[in-house]
Amino acid sequence: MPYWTRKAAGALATLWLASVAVFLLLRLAPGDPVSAALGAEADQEQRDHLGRQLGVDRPLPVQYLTWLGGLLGGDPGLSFHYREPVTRMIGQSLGSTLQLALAAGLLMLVLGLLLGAALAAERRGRLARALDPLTTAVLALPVYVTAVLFVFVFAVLLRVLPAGGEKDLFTAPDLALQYLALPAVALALPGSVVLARLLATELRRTRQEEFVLTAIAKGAPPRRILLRHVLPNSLAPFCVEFGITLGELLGGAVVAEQLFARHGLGQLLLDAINQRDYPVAQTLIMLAVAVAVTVQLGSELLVGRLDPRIARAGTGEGR
Amino acid sequence: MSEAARLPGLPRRGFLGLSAGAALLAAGCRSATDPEAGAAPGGTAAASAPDLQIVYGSAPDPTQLLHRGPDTPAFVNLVLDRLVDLDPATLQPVPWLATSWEWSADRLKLVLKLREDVTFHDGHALEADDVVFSLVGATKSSQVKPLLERLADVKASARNEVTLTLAKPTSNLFDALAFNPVVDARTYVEGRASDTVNGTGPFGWRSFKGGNQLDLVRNERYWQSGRPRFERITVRSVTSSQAALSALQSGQGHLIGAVPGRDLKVLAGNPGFTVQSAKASYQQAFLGVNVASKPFDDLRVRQALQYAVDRERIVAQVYGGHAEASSLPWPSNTPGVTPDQVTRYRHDPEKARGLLREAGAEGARVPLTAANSPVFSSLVELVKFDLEQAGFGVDVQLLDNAAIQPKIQQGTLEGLFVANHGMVSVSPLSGITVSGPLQVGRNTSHVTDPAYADLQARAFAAADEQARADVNHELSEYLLAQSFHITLAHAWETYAFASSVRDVSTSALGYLKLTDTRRDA
Amino acid sequence: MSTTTAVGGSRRPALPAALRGRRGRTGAVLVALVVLLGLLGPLLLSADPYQQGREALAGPSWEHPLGTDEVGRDLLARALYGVRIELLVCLLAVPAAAVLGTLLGLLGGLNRLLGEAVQRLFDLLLGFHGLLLGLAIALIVRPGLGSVVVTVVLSALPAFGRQARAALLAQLARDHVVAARVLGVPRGRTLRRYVLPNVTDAATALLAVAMAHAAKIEGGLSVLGFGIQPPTPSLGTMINTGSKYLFLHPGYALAPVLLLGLLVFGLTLLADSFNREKLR
Repeated sequence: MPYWTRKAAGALATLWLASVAVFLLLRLAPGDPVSAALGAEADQEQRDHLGRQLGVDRPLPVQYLTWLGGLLGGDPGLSFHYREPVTRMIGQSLGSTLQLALAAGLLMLVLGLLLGAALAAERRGRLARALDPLTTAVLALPVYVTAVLFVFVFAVLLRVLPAGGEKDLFTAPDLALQYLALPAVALALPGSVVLARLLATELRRTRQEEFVLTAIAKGAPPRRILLRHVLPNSLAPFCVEFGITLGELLGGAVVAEQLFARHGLGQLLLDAINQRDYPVAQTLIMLAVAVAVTVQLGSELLVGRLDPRIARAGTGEGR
Repeated sequence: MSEAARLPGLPRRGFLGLSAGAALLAAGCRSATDPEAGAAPGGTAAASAPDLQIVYGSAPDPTQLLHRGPDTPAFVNLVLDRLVDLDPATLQPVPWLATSWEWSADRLKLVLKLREDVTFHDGHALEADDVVFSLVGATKSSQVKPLLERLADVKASARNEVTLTLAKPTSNLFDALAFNPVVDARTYVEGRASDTVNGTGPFGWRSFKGGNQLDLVRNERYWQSGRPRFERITVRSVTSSQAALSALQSGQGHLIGAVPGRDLKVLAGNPGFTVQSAKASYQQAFLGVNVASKPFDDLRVRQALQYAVDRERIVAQVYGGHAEASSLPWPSNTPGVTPDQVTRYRHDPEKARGLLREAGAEGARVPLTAANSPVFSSLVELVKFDLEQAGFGVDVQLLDNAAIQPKIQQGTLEGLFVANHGMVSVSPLSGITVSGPLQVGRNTSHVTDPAYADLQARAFAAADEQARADVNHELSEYLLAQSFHITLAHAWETYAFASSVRDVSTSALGYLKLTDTRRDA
Repeated sequence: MSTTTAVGGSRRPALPAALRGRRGRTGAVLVALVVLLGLLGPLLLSADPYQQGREALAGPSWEHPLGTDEVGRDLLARALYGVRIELLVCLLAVPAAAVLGTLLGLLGGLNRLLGEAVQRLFDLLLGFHGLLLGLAIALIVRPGLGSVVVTVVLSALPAFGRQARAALLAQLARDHVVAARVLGVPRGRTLRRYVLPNVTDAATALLAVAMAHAAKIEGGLSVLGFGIQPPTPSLGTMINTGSKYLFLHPGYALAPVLLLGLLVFGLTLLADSFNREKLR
C-alpha cells in the first residue's frame, strides 16, 4: 500500500473510533439532558414527556446510528436544548473560532520561523542573547496569564484595544481585527515559542551535517546555505510540531474564548456539555477530532514529501 | 549564517509593528474601544444615549418561558409583563397588567380586570384569552405548577376580564400571578420560545443569536407612556466574571449582572462605577440535610451544623457584603418574622462541638455535594472548613449542574448538600409548596413530619394578613427547631454599571427594571 | 529525527555531561530550588495552607508574608503546597507518561499488528488533545487531582510513543544495526545496545516541553472549572483565582506565576543543554 493511502485509512479508523468514544463518553457522564433542562421542581410526568420528545428513551445503538447517519449526511439533528438544527448553531459560532484560530495560527507560524532563526544564529548580539531567556519565560506563561496581563494593559489602562467580545470580519473588518488582536497574540505566543525553540535546535543540528559543511567549504553565500541547505532539511520536525501545536491551539481557544468573552465553538461546547445537549456536544467534539486528525495527516504527508526516508521507512516496517 | 545573525531584531519589530498596526487602526478607522462603535447612528437627543449594553453572568435560556426553569433569565421581565407586580418593601401585590381585582366572599373566586391599553409587540391588543392561555400553560408546565394546583378553572368572563375559580381557598395565588409571564396565545410555542416571543413588555424581542446574544428593541406602544428610554438593549452572556468586569471597565458594557459579589470588590471606591444591590433575590443558597442518613437523624447534630457555619464570613467572603446573614430561608421583612428568629443561630464552634459530642458523632465523616460553579465551590470551601472546625469530617463532591439535578429531583443526595432554591423569597407558603428542598411531602431532606404538612394547610387557609403573619412565625419556628434546612445567606442580586447609567431599579425578586433607566451620552 | 548522532559504543552519557555546561547548571539549580521549596518550604512554615480566617485578601504582614487569599488563608503556604501539587503533575505524571509512551512506542515497532493498534490509540489521544481530554475525563470521574494527572499522562503519551517509534525505525535501518543483526547479535542485545540509548535520549529531550505543557493543562482546566478543586492548593488555580485580584492584590497571582516560571525555565534550560550536548 502506498504511504498516503495507509495513512488516510488510519485516519478514517481513528475518526470512527472517536465517534464511538464520544458517544459513549457523554452518556457515561452522570446527569442527563432532561434533568438539565427541567429544574429541581419538575415531576416524573414532565420528565417522561421531555425524554420522549428528545428521543433519549430509545436504545443506545439506535441513538448512535441515528446520529452517525445524520452526521455523515451532513445533518446531525436538532439541539436538545434550543431545538434548532445543530448545523445552524455551529454555523453561528464557527466564524468566531475560525477567525481566531487562523489569526493565531498565522501569527504562530511567522513568529515561530523568525524567532527560531534568530535563536539559532551563531554570531549573536546582545539582543539575541536576551531573546533566549525571554522565549523561555514566555514558554512558562500560559494563555490565561498573558490574557489577563494583556487585557489590563491594553484594554483597561491604555484603552486602545477592546477587552473582549467580537465583531464580524466581513461586515466590519477594521473593528473585527481589533477584537482579534489580544486573544490571537495571547493564544499564539506560547506555541510560537515552542516552534521557535524546536526550529533553532534543528537548524543547529542541520548546520553540523556534512553536506552543509561541504557547502560552506565550497564558499556558498550564507543566505543560500540557510535557504537552500539548512532550512529545508530542518523543516520536517517543524511541520509536525506545527500540526500538533495547531491542534492545541484549538484547545487553547476554548480558554481564550472564556477569558476574552468570545462566543465561539468552545463556549458552545461548554454550554452543550453543561446542558447535556448530546447532539451539539457530540458533533462539536467530532469536529475538533476531525480537525486534529486531518492536520495530523497533512503534516505526516508533508513530512513524507520533505524527507522521503520516513515514507520509505514507514512502508518498510515489519519486514 | 550571517543572515540568521541579522534576524534577531525582526521579531521584536514584528511585534511592535503589530501593536502599531492596531494603534493605526484605532487612529485611522473606527476604534472598537469607542463606546459608540458599531452602533448605527441614532436620531435621539444628544443628552441621552440610545442604547444600553448589558453583560450578564449566566447564559440566557429563553426556551421555556412558561416553565421558567432555573436559568430563565432575569431579563425576560424586560420583554414580558405579568398580571401583578410585588411591592419590594411589603411583598404585597400591586397592579400591573391587572388594574384591579375582587375576591368573592367565600374566597373561591377572583375576578381580575385587565388594562385596556395594552398591545403586544406585533400590534394586536392584549385580550383576556391571552391571560387564560398563559395561566393554563403555567398549570401544565410551570416550575410553580404546585402553586396553581388549587386552580379549578380560568376563563375569560369579558374582553378585559378574567375569572379564576379555586377548588379550595388559597392565600398565595398572587405569588403565581406575579411570577408567570403573559404570552401571546396565537404564536407562543413552548420549547421554541426564542423564535416566538411576543410580549407586552417595554422591550420587543428582536433576535437571539448563537445561544448567547439577545437583542431587544424599544416597544413604541408600551402602555407606560414615554417609556422606555432606550432604543435598543443588547444582552450578552459572559460567564467569566473577569471578562464581564473587563467589559465594564473598558466601556464596552454599561451594566453587568449575575457576577459573584466578591468579584465586584475591584470596583470599590472607583467613582466611574456604581454598584447597586437589589437587597432581594429569587434564588437563595442553603445547606441541605438528608435527615434519613446518619448522623443527621439526630437533631443535635443538625443543630451543631447551625452553630458551626459562620454566616457573617460567608456574606463577606463569598458575596462581598452583598447579602444578608440569616437563619431563615425567607427574607427578614416577611410578615410575622421577628428579628430574633433571623439571628437565632450565631457562629459558635464551641457549642457546635459540644452538641456533636453529646450526640456521640464527633469526627463523623459526612458527604457534602454541590454544583460546580464559582459561587458554590467557594461556599463549599467555607462550609467545609467551618464544619471541620466543629469536629465533622467532610468529603466534598462537586458535580456539574446536569449531574446534580437528577439527584435533587429523585431525592438521592446523601448527607449534606449545598444548592440554590427559588420561590422562598416570595412567601413562606410558596416556598414550602414549590421549592424542592422544602416542599411538603416530597423534599430532598426526606422530612415526612405530619406537623409540617399541618402548617402548610394552615398557611393555605389563612384568610387575612394577621393569620398569614401568625402562621409565618410558626413556620419559621418549626424550621429553626428542626434544622433540616440550614440557610447560609440571602444573596442579593447585585448590578454594577457605569456612572453614566441612571435610574436603574429592581423588582421584589431582584430582577432588572429598565423602564425609567437612561444613560448619559 | 533528532536521534541520529549517538553511535554504538562510543556514546557518552549525555545527562551528566549536560550538567557540566553553564546552562545545564543554571537549569539544574533552578529546578532543584523549586523542588526544595516545595518539599522543605512547608516544613519550615508555621502557617497551615487550609486555615481560613476573617482577614480576606489582606496585604503582606509579618504573620502572612504574602498576605491572604479570598477566604483568609496564608498565600505563601498555599503557594509552597501548590508547588508540591505541581511537582506531582510535572515531575511524576510526565515521566510516567514518558516511560509508558516509550514502551508502547517500542512495542508497536516490533509487531506490525500491535503497531497499528498503538498507532490508533495515539491518534485518538492526539485527536482529543489536552483540554478536551481533560474535560472528558473530568466529566466521567469527578474533577480533581486524579483527573488532572490522568489527563496529563494520557495527553503526553503520544508524543513519547511516536518519538520512540521513530527512533526505533531509524535505528533499525542504520548500517551498524543491520550489520549487528546480520552478524547474529541477538535481537534483545541489539535493542538494548543501539536502540534504547537513542530512544531514552529522545524521550529526555521531550521531557521539559511536556512538563511545561502539563502545567498549562492543569491551569487551563482550572480556568474552565475542571481542574484541581479547592481547597487543594495548586499553582494553576491560584494564578486563575489570583488574576481576578491582580490589581487589588498583585502578589496573589504573581507569586505562583514566579514559582511556575522558575520551574519551567529551569526545565527548559536543562533540556536545551541536553540537546546541545547531544549535538556535540
